[in-house]
Amino acid sequence: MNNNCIEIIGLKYLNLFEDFSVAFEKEKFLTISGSNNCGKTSFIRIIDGQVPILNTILVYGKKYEDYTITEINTLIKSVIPLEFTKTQNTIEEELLYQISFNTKKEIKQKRLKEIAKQFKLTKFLTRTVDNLSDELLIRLQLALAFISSPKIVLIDDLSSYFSKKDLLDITNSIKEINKNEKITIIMITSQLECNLLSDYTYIISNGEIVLEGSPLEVLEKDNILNKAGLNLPFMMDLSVKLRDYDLIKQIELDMDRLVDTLWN
Amino acid sequence: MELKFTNYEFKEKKISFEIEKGTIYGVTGQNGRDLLEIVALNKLNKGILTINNEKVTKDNINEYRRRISLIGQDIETSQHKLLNIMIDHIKRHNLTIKDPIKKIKDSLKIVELPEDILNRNIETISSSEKKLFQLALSLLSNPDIIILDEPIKCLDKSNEKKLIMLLQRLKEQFSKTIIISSDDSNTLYKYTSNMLFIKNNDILLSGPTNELYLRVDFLKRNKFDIPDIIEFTYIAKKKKQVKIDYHKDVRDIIKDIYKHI
Repeated sequence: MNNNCIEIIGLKYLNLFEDFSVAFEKEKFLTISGSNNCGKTSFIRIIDGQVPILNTILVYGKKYEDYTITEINTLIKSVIPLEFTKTQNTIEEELLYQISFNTKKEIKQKRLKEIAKQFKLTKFLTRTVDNLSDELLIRLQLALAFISSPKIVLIDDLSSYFSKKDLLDITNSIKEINKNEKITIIMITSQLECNLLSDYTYIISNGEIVLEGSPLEVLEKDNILNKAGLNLPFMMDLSVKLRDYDLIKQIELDMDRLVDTLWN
Repeated sequence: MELKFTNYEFKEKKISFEIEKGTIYGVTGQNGRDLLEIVALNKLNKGILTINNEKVTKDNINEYRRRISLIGQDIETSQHKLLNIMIDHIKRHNLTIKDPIKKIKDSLKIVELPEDILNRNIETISSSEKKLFQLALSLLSNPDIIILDEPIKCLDKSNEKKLIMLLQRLKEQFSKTIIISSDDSNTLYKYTSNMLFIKNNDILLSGPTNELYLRVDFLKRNKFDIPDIIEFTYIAKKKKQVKIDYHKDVRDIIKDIYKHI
C-alpha cells in the first residue's frame, strides 16, 4: 500500500532542480531545510500548483493536473507568509467562512475556538483583517489553513516573522494538530530547532537532498550541515562535539540533563 | 559621530544613553524598534541630544539625520527593478552624487553583490541578497551610523558570516557605528560589543555585552533571553560548582569542559 501523499518524480525547474525526486509520507510532520537560494520557497510553490509543472507531481497516487482546482484546494492548503489579500472582515468571519457551509453552527463555533486557541488568536477575533500586524496576519493564515481540516498543509519559512520562542511555540501547535488530526505537514524552516520537533526532516543543497531521516539522525551530521551552510542549534552542536570527543555516549539536548551526565 | 542622549523623552519616560563611534551595538527588548527611530533622529523629542558635543536643534537635525541610515526589514519603494530602486532612493533622499551610476556600482562592490543584479526585480531576489542590497542602498548616503533591524534572521550560516564580516569591515576600515536590533540573544552575544536592554520604555541596562549577559539572574527576572552558551555554563557552575569560564565559541567551552571533567 502506498503510504505517500505527495510524490515528486524527476522535477526540473530553472537552475534550482535537475531531476529531483522525493516522496512525502502521509500524516507525518515533515520539515525541509537548506541554505538561502536553495529553492525552498520555489519548492512549496511547485507543490502548491502556483508554478505549473506537468507529469511530475502525484497527489495520493494521481497526477496533480488530473485533479480539479476545487479538489486540490480541499486537499492541500498552503501558508506563504504575508501572501494574503486583506479584507475588512473580522478574523472570526474569515475563519468561519473556511468551514463548510453545511456544518452545524455549534460544530463551527467549537472548531473556531480550538483553532483560534492554537494560534493565539482568541483575543483578536473581532479585529478586522485590514489592520493586523504581520505577526497576527501570519497566525491568521495558519489558522485559515488548518480550520477546514485539509489532508496536507504546506508552510513556507516563518523564521523571519517571529522570535525564536514564538516560532517554537507555533511549531509545537502545528505538531499537536498533526498528532491529533493526522494532517500531513510539510514545513520549510531555516531554524533547525523546528526540525527537532518534526517526525522526519530533509536537507536540500544544490538542488539535491543531501540528508534525510529522523531529526536527531540528520542533525548529528554536523559536517554535511555545515557544508550546506546551516547553523546547528547550540545544544545539538555541543552534544555532537562532546560525543565525538568521547565525553558523552548519547546526544542530549536538555541542558540540565547534559550537565548531570557530564559531572555526575 | 558620537551621540549623547540626556533625559531624552522616550514614550513618556526620560532616558539617557550614549552611542560611541566605531562600535557595534546591540538593542533588545520591548520597543527596541522605537528606540532605533530615536537614534535615527526621525524626530526631535524633549531632552538634550548632543552629537560630537554639539547640541542638536530643529535647525541642524536634518544635517545629522542624513548621516544615519536605518535599515528596516522591508524596502519602502514603489519601484520593482533594483536599479530603479537605487535611483529612486537617491532622489527621495536628495543625495548629491556626482556620478550616481558609479556610486551605485561601488556600493554593490562593497557588499559583494554582482552588478547584474541591478537588472533584476526585487521580488526575484533571495532574502540574503535583499539584506545585502538594503545595506548597499544605505551606503549610497555614506552614513556614519548604520542601524539594522533583525539583520541576521533568516540568513543561513555562510550569509550570516558574510554580513557580519561586512559590518565588522565597515566598523574597522570606515569607522562606522553599527547598531543591531534583535531578539536573538545568541546573535547579540556573539557579534556586538555593547548592549542596550529595553524594558517598560526604559533602558534597563547598558554597557559591554560580555559583562551584561553574565547577569543571568537579573536578565531572567526581567524576561530577557540568555544566550545558550551562557545559560549552559551558568547551569554547570550553579549546579555542580564547576570552574569553567564563559565563552563565545562552542569549541572553547568544549576545551574547558575537557579540562574540568
